[in-house]
Amino acid sequence: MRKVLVVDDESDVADLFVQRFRREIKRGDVAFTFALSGEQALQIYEARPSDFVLILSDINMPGMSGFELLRRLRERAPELPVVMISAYGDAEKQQQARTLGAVGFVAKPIDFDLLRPCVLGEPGSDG
Amino acid sequence: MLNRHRLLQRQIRKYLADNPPPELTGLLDAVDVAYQQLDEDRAIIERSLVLSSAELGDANRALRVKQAELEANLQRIQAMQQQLVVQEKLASLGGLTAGIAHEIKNPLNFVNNFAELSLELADEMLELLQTDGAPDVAELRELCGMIKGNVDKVLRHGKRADGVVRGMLLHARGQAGERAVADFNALVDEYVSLAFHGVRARNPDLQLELERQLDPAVPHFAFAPQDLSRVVLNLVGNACDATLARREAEPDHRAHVLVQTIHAGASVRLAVRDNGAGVPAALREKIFEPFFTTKPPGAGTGLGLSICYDIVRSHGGELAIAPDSSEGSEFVVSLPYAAA
Repeated sequence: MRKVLVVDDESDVADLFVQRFRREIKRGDVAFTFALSGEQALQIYEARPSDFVLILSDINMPGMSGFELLRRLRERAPELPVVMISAYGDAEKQQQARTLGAVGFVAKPIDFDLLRPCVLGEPGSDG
Repeated sequence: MLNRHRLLQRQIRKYLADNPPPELTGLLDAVDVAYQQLDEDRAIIERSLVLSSAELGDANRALRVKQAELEANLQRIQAMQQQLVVQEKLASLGGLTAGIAHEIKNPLNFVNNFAELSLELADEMLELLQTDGAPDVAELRELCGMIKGNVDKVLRHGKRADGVVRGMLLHARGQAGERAVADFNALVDEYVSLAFHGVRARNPDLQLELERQLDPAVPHFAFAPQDLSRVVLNLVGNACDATLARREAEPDHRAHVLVQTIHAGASVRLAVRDNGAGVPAALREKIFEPFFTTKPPGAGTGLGLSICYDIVRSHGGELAIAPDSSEGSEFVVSLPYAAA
């Protein structure tokens, strides 16, 4: 089972992912853990660093921003793939995400057809 | 004068008969000369008076021309000032565009996705209903419940996006000064978010704890929402900028901005406190002056706080910087709602 940590300050994001991956969750292909802030995400990650195969994070959150979370995760786990999800779709932010080591950038509104293969670890998906 | 002089001479001659003593004749001649001199002086004075009143007329006409010129200049300056105010407004709106896009795309993410999910769930329900035999009522009920929950989210986030657009239009188009009874806390809440997202759009690394304490006792009262929204945008934007400035010097600084509304007697207070770079005491007098800015050239028009000051004054209120504003700063707006 692939364990994915999703970080977003809006709680409805959890419901969105659970419904979007309802079948895959039921089948036991994937399991999600949700964090409402960068700080919370770091705590969850540090408690069980080997649990997660992928982290999806919002950029714009109160407190620690998604970019800061990405930076700290890079220090702790250089191999762990992180995909940034943001309502800022501009090229500048995408470039910054890449520079900081994110493997992908998804603009909101999220296109789940694009995100799905990446979440499920299907071949040919690197964000 | 000349006539009176002759009369006087004739009277003197009458008293002294026809042959006045020679010494008196001399005196009379001297008086004669003095009078003539007087008459000449008088004529000169009269002529110069005529001349000076002509000069005065000229000077007056010149002054009138000058006055017209000055009035035209004043009108030009007023028009320029108005243009600057519009520019400042557009600049503040420009800085907001990214914040507004972000504020709309977030709810839109939920609207699109939960609507699509509801369609899929409805298809699943139809499939279940079309299978042979009795459909699984429990599953139908579960699907129906999910659709209901989703449509509720679509509605909620749709309204949220609508609120953002409406606020933006009010800000851009609103007839300044138009007052209406409205919910001050709601306005503060909405524009604090817009200001924050605007700053973060420009500075993706912004690390900031943004705290709101909106006093539920704040009554609805009459204010100009498009004007006061600019005050909130400006004060919160400045507060965020101030924390950024401090973090440049102290990267480990924990930035914090607190926005409070307080119901205090017959007035409503809005306090925006940050723990940023602060305002040195020497500058505190100046910050409300037009064109005064501590930001680098091009980063600020220097009109933000001055316009805020005017807006608050036009509501009969006060805008002040708290005296303990060297370690971070606090701006306090006080609005008398009873008088409004």
